[in-house]
Amino acid sequence: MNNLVEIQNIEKYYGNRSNVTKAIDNISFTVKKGEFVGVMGPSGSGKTTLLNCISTIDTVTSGKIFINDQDITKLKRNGLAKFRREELGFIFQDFNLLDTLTAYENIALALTINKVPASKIDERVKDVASKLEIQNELNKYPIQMSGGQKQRVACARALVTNPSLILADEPTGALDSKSARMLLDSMEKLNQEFKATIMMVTHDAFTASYAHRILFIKDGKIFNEIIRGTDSRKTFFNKIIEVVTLLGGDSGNVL
Amino acid sequence: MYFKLALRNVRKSFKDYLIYFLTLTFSVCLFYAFNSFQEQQAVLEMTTMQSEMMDNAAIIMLALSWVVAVVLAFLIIYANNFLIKRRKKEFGLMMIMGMSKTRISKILCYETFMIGIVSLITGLFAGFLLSQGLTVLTAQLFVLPLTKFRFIFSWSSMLITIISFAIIFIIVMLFNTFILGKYKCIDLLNADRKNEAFKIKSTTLTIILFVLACILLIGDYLYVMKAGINMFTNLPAIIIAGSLGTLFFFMSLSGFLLRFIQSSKRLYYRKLNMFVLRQVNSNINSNVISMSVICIMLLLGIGAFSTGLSINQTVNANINANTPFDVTADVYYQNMSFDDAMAELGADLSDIKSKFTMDIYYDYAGEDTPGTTYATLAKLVPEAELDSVMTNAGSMPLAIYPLSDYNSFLQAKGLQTISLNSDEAVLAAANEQAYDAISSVYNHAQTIQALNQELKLVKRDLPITNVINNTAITTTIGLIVDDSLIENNPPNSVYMNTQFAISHYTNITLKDGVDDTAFAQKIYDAYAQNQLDDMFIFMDTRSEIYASSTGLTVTFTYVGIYLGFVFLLASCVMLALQQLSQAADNRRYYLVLNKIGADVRMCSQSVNFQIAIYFMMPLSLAIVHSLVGITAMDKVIAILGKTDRLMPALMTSGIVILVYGLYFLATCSGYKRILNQK
Repeated sequence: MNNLVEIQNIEKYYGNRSNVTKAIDNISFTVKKGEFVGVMGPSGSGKTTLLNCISTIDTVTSGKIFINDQDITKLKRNGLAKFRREELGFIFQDFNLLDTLTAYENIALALTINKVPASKIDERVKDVASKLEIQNELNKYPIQMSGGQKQRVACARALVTNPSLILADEPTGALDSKSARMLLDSMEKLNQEFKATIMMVTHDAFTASYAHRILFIKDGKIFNEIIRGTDSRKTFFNKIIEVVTLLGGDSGNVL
Repeated sequence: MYFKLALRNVRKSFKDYLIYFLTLTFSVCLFYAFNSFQEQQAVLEMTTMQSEMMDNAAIIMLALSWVVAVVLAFLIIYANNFLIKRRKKEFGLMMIMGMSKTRISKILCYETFMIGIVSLITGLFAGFLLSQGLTVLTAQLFVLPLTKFRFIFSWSSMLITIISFAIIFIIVMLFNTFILGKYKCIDLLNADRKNEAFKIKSTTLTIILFVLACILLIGDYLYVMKAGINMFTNLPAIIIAGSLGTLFFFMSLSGFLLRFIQSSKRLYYRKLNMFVLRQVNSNINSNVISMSVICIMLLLGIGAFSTGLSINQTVNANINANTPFDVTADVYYQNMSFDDAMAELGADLSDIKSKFTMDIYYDYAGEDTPGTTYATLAKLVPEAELDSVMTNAGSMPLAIYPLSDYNSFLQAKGLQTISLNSDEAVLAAANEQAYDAISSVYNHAQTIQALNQELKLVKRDLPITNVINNTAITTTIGLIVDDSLIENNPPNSVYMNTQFAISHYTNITLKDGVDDTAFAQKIYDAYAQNQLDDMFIFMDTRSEIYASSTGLTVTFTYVGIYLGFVFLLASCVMLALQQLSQAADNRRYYLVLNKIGADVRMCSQSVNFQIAIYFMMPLSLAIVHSLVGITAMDKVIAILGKTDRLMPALMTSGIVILVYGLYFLATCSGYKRILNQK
């Protein structure tokens, strides 16, 4: 298995000369194809900045990010948009569905932006909808759906373009525990059955326990890394809690 | 301290205030410029008659300004409301920090006051410049030299403007206080998180509404096109049907458009089309009433422009044909001829170079007699070719010219005389429109029923001109018959209210260099001195007709431009504000689009596309409305003569494209500025 994402010594500084904040302070790691990686850390640790840099929404101050052997820190504005729509899929905390479009259209929009011919759209939307079990929701508007349904539509939108990497930023943040579990089951299924590579930022230990490997970030640096291996999710969950406690975060952040 | 805070607020949110400020400035500018109308006389060397015309026009403008003030007041309150909505969160923050509502509204009042003062000053200055431009325009319309030109400032107009806008600003302040009192702190703080209620309409309802809209509008159009001048009797019904039709049209339109484009998958599923259409759809759905209002205001604006301008064209085109002689006199005194009556008065006729009598007969329709009327002509022509000249005039009698008098007229004009048999008749037209009408009579009829007998219609090569100085419809179409026919049917009285009437006109050509107004005045003076009982003198001089025509032209042109601008401005501002107020909400959508890979160009195109559709919707329907309205108005104006449709249409579309285009561009760039805000 080769590396899908390779991050080499990236740094991200905010502020001016007199007052520099190092949001990311020399981070390097790799993500293999088909992996499900979680990124954890307390508020202000730089995990969202890291995700933004990988997703090309933000730029790094120094260092290199390779995705599919392409150095994305060298891309220009329109190249970035092209890269984003072809290689990446996004899942946001607050779903970010377009209220005026139906679920079907929200998913189709990702394809039309990619200039997929109209004749192929229907097949691909229905295909991805069946994977996420939202066939019956397709003609509803976001306002008519529950939070869990909305997030699965958002998942479908991220997945429909067959991206190399799916980036999820606190995907369960706005969901109740039942919906969160359903969503995570779907994501696990996507990862295992359809070999989607997922990178997920969260501060919730239960959500993180679905990942194969977890990177802990504190003050812009990688603090620890744990791998699930053959552990059951429960054991892995306990391991996560241990690290979280060690990190200095209290257990308030935990389920 | 509150004053300082208000000042800082205005400065900080200057860009938000920009469109409000521009609207205010434009309003003040228009209001001042058109009210300072009368003062133009100071630099224009006008005759007394022209001054009178200007005074009349000024009175009309002042009356109109009341209507305009009401429209502007609504517009300003609308724009103000848009600003308040944008700043909800700020007010919420002020409240949570412990500021009372009274204090916040005090700050708002200070802000309104400041903006008001600044826009009044800039608006008055812009209006001052505009009014100089209008002076040049008036000079052109009256064909006056601008030798004494200097800048004039109208204090009275300034006073009217300041008072009117002060009242408007006070209303705005009261309105703000009222609105603020209604808000709850929590709603203000969460203002940007609240989604607009999203309504989904059923397809059946949409179809029913669309069909209703079509029936109402097409019915209205057909009626207006057919009715001509008679439409004014049913005006309220026409307006209600038109407005309802427009409302239903916009209620159903967005749904229809969406379905229509959805049926083409290739178009619908292309780049951001889907998103744009859905956006527009929901925009229109939540603004149905204001869309209809905008559409009707555009109709009024376009209608005002083109009618004002086309009356200008029509009157100017016909003025020569309507003034064939220096003076036409109409004297009634004991059945005496003009010469005898003048001798009786002791009037000085030495200035006359030549004159001849032009008798005109009118054969009115009575209870038993059909008369010889415009309706008589209308019967000869198939309905499809019926011209408004005939339908508008209806039961009005045709002018009947005895052949001998008509030949005198031709001689006076230096033209070849004509001859007729006693059973023949010739039609004569006073303007192009009437000429078209008589041509179609010639095409369809060989005979005409006139003077109680059947006459053969024959063609002669006649000039297209009036036979006397006259702008009224009475001599628009004339029937020339042999003198013997009239002798056989003598008029039973000289007065107009009988069935067969006669008017004795005397067409006078003056010696070179003699002023026609002075000549007429001398006769009127003699008349005033002598006080002869039962004597009536009517004189139409060429100068007088010119002056009143230009007076009419000036009034209509100014009213047209004034109203046209106000309505056009109001619609543009409303459209722009509606789009801009949504920009802040749509910002997060565009952020999502950008994240899922839509590049800047794609987003920018979609913004332009969205605003363009939104701007075009009311305009397209308004254009259809106006085409019908203008065609109908043309038929009414046709009484004055043939209308030239091309020039007014070109000028109107030029102005509309300019103003609309400017606001469209401003909206696009403002929208993108809001989207790009960090």
